[in-house]
Amino acid sequence: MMSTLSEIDPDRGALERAAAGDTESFGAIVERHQGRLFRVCLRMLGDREEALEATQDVLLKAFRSAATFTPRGRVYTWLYRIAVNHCLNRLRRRKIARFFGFGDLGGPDDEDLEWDPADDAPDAERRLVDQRAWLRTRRAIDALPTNQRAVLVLAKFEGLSYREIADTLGITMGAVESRLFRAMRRLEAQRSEGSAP
Amino acid sequence: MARSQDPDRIEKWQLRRLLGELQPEELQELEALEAKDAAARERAARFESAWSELSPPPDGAPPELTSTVLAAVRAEREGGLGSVLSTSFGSRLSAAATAATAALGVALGLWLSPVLDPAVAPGQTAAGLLAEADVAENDGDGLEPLFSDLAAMPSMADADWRALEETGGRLSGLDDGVEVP
Repeated sequence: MMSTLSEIDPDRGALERAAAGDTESFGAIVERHQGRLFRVCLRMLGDREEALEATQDVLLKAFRSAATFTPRGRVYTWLYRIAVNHCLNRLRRRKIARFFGFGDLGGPDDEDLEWDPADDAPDAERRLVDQRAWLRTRRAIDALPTNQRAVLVLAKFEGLSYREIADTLGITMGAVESRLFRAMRRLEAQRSEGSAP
Repeated sequence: MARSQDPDRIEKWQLRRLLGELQPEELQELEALEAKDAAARERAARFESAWSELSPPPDGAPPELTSTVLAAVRAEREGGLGSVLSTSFGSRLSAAATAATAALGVALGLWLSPVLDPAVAPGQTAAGLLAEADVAENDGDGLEPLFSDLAAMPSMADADWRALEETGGRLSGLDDGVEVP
């Protein structure tokens, strides 16, 4: 028996209903994907507040564009694509802003990440370690060209396959491999520089 | 270039191994290479270390995100222009100002750079420098580079300010030039 597109991807039906104006159906999509979209935005942009704002923008864009969604792939790769495009544009704006001397990275610096002994939550020290590890990662990712950053984030943190990344970004699988390789080459070089005496 | 001729194949295979995408025959070949060649083993190990050192951010999305997004969606459906994305108005205003100032800066740079900067090669302009800094990274990925067309910048800024004026300072969201697929 042939499966319908909605059976293969339950988001399709919800998106079609959202396109017809059913806000609750769109709510189901938001519930299902907001976490991963927020993670992508946070990893692309590095700043929590900006990532929250970007996630809202991305979901609103998805709602506005629901009627024009072309069912070539799964809905979540389409959502990823909107998110990555949105973040790339934000990063470019940020770069322009830096070029003209205003705007910064946002987010905490090392000196902001002090362990507070008065914080007696059982996982306070663990959280600090995690935050420091993320800060190092964020700095490393920030140094990458934006198109390499997008591929790295989707591969490393979202666990997408080369095929899914290619579909999401609208590029070939060869380009995915090449960009990921170049990103890792840069990270490896940064790492070597950092550990040099 | 044939895969066997690719000088970077060890690292590329290693990445696909880390992602669980390496084909069985490629995996065998990589393991054989690592077994007989210490340099290959070291190259693969370096990539694996760099890969595993990348840590995710510690926090997930806040639970109120769903309700915030849905409130914005409902407001938009009901035509509540001002309520949509009102929380991000400040940064949108700032983005509009940034775009406007950037446009002004580029225009000024275009005019001045050949005159003032002796390091600039003959014929090279601020626009060219800016394009090298940004657009060179966009190697045909199909994603629209926002400011690759410098001539479009002033009109974008104009559109943002027009939107501000038309809504009396309330924005429902600036068009950031993304073509939603």
